[in-house]
Amino acid sequence: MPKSVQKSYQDVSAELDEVLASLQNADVQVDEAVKLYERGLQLVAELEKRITQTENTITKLTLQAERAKGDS
Amino acid sequence: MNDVELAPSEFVALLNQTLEFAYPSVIVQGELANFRVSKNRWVYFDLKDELATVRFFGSVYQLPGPLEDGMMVKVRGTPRLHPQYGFSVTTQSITPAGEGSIKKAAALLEAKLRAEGLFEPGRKRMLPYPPQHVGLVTSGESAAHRDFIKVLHARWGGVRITLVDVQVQGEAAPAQITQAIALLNQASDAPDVLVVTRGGGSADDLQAFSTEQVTRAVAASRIPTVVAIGHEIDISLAELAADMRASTPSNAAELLVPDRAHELVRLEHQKARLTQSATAFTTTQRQRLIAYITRMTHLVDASLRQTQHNLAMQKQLLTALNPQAALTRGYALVYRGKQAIRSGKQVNTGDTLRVVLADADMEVVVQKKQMKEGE
Repeated sequence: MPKSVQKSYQDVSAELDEVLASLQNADVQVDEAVKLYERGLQLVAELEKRITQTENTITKLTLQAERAKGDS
Repeated sequence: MNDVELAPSEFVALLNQTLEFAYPSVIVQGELANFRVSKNRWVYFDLKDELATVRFFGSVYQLPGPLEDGMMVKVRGTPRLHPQYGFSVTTQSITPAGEGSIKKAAALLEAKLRAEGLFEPGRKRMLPYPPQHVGLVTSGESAAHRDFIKVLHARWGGVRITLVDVQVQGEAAPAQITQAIALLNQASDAPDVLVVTRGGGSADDLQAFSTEQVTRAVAASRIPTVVAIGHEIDISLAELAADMRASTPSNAAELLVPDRAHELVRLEHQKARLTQSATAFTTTQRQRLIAYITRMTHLVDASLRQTQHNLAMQKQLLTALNPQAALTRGYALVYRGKQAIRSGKQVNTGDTLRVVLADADMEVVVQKKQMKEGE
């Protein structure tokens, strides 16, 4: 796997799926469950941040496109 | 002389001598009768009026074209007494006379040349447009010549003109016009189009252009040929044989070259249309681009909404799996030190344990332990 600064959204989302699967496992220890839950919350926060960034980028690009249309 | 006795042959010779002296040439005009051609070479006919009939003899080479009994013709000839066949006029030239006969002769000639295919539309050639070099066959002093040059130069520049000055009416006209067409065809620096033209006139004046000779010359020209005879009602045969006919000398010039003023307007229109097309093209392309952007935006939006939905589901699941949630519902966590207790087997009576509730953290001592049945 190439060295990347940031994991992709998909990778983070996949990790969250793994956390959720682990939490649903009956054998999970309570301590472990708490750690997993905390990790899950971190991942959710990260994904929400990414989505917000993406939304902002799209809004910005759409505005640029609208402005280009207006110039014609 | 009255008393001189002559042998028949002497009488014939004497009479012919006298006739030649008195009438070297006579012109007789009358109605054609008993017209016949012998051996494709000799022509016999009579000219008559109400009172008299005169016999004529000639060769087919003198005929202006096909002739028929009843036509009025004008014949130039020499009166002669033949030693055996009696009196006749030896013809030098025959021309149709009177409007009716001229028309009739023209109709007969036209039928003959049409049958030969001289007027076939398939023979007509395209004229170079505009031509670079025009061979002009007309009378150099005529209004036709002046009009043609004037209109040509007014409409278009740089066309070279080679004039062959000919008579356009009279007996010499057909031969001169024919020679002019041949001359221009044979020139080393040949024109790329010929114009044979004259102004309007009476049927007689225009007759040269309906002669077999001129019509054939026009049809035979290797150079595409325009024939323009002014304002006539009947179309001359040369016009029928031409690649293109024009109604007047000016009209010939109009057909031959474009009008530069008109061309400039046309160019302007083309320019405007070109600009319009280019604008239409960029407008279309821009609209297509806008459509792409709109579609792309929708796709990105849809993708984003799907991602948000997925995350919401994950978040909901995570919340449901929050260990703390169980505590709020009344469950408790039991630890000894840091070790979570999951079984009574891990606990002895008297142990000090830590109990965690949703809102409190307690230390308790185990006073009694009873394993459930079967454990």
